[in-house]
Amino acid sequence: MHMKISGVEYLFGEQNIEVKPKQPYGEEQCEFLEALSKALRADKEARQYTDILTFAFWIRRANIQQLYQAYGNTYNRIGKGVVFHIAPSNVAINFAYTFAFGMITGNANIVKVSSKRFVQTTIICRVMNQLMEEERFRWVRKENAVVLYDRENQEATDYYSSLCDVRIIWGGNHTIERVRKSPLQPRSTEITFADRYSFGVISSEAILRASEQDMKTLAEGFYNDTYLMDQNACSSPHLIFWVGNKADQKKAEERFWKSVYTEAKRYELADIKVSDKYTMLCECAQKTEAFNVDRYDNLVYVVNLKELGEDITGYRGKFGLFYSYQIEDVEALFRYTNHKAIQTCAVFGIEEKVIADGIMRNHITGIDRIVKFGHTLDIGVFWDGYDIVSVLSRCIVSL
Amino acid sequence: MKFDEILTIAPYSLEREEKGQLLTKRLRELTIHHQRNCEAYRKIIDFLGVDAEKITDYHDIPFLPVRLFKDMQLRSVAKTDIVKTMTSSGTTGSGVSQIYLDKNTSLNQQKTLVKIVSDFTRKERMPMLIIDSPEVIRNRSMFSARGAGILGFAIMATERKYALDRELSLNLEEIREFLKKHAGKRIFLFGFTFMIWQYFYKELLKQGEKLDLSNAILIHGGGWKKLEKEAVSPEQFKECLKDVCGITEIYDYYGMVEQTGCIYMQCNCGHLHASIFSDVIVRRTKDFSVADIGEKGVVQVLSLLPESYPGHSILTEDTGIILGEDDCPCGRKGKYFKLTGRIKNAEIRGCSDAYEN
Repeated sequence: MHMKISGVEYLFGEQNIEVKPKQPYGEEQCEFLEALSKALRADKEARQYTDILTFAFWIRRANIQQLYQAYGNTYNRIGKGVVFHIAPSNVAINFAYTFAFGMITGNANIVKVSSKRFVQTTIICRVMNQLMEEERFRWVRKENAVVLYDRENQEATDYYSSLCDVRIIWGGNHTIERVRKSPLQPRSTEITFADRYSFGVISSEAILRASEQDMKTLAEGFYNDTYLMDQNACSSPHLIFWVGNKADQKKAEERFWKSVYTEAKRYELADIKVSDKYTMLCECAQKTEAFNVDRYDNLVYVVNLKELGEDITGYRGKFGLFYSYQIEDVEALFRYTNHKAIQTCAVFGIEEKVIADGIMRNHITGIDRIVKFGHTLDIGVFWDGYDIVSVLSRCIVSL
Repeated sequence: MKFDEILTIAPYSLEREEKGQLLTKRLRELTIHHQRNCEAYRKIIDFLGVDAEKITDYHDIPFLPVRLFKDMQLRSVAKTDIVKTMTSSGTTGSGVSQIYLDKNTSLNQQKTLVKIVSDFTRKERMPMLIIDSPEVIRNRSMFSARGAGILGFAIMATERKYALDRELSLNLEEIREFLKKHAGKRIFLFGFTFMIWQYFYKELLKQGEKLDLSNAILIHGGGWKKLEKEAVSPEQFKECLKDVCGITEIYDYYGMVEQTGCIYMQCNCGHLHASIFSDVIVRRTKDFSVADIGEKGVVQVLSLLPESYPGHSILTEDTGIILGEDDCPCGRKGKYFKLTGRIKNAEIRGCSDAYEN
């Protein structure tokens, strides 16, 4: 069991992992996360990265307490044991969140980070290592590891997979397929975050009613949902459904996209992105249902669709290329969203509950998150349809 | 407007206004022609909301991104009329451009190339020494950029000799014989920049051999990327070649497989020149507006040639600067410019299909 695995670099911790499951939201974990939060917020280098700061803010005691209270009782729950995380290679900070999920829920963790060596990974590991100087946090180093190795190193993936109780794979689909070649123990389980698709729905009426300030807030939110991640995150909307009567729609759309355009002026539109995006636009032109495009310089391209195919998950943009489609009412939405790959529905001017009810009533397989624009990237312990605390802990029953 | 009429005009003789009229007329015609004959192109033009009939300035001609030629098969003639398919180089996994040529467009490319090049060589035909291996033109129906370049220039040869053998070793004996045979004549040397450096210059240096090419003219292209890695500047390149073979007339050119024929030759002042057969527009990536003279941007290339594929207006992934128009000290009319690189992180492509070690 303790043979040396080659090609693995330990950015934090070491190969031998001590397994001491704990109660979810336990004091020990909260204490460490609070200390990490403070240390990150005080660190000169870390403070330069907004994603690190957002993470630091998320793991502070007050927030974790709030999550705990929202979850309810955990007295009969205990961490499963060892969680092996395969962090994504597209979003740098996610390794930290997945690690925090594993820790909050009372598990030992092995987190494989992207071999791209994101600077955020280096910074957070450095700060964690600094915290290890304190006696009270020594257990963290014994029970957790952050590892870096080439994705092709199957020996390493085999090894960590063989000893974990839960494996979490942050996709895409190719990664999942590859990792699944490494077997798990019979009782071990797996969570996969596969390639997903997200969209938004906006009420034209609400746009026309909105104040200038509301529009600015909405546009800022939309910017964060999309441009901030080059539209590459699973939860970034690609397609906007417009609900309302025909007369309002064009006016509302124009108002919205103009606000987005103003907001997007701060986007770093690298030449390569323009080239990619323009190429993509010319490819869009080949779709029969795409009837024209509204261009706001090279910052915002809106491809107007006159009809929608069965599968909307093919309408994907990047660097600020969006699809737009008008529907007469919210109910029409469920004709197009009955697809397992659909994750987040961002809303403006439409109650979240209306969408949630519609999902139930129409028995559809898509949509696991309904959030307001500006919050599509807010990661949490409910993600991608999973209740993470439940799946990373076991339930002890006494009758 | 027939291309043959345009061919009668001297390649660097038109000034801004006159050239603008010619470009607008011919490019509008080409736009309408491709719109009628290439469905994919028509869809793009319609989608972008362009009415080709109403275009009064060639700056308004829509452009296709160069990568589209990799992703799609773009043709404006029947498949049966295609006589040649040219392919660009490309890094592995990124696909290659496919450019479909019919007899007419292919012929016009050759004629145009001769027109442009002879403005520099002052002679249409000369004995030609090709700094490459004959292997590169083995398959005559599928042309790589390197093969196409060689064949394009080779029609100017009274006799041709390949300087490298199959294994890319220098045929020193044969070169000497060739030079002896044509002693006193002007010799035309052609090759790709990297090939010349790696297999001609370095080899001569290594063997300690010298050749007398003081009466020769060298035209080379294909980009500097590989030489940048070896930290060879254009000035050094010229100096070094002069050292080993006494050659002083060396011209670089900029061209791409998507617009073969109308290459951009570099004059003695070090400027790349647009002939009357083509034009360059430098655009700002922010909004594709036209950049000022002296302002860096992404290069759009226009060519009056392409009839068999919709490649008359292409947005490249190269960046450059227009240095001036109609007033280069070399006397050639039209725009002159320089390249500043490729857009960051763009796929590495260029004209010489890399000889990988």
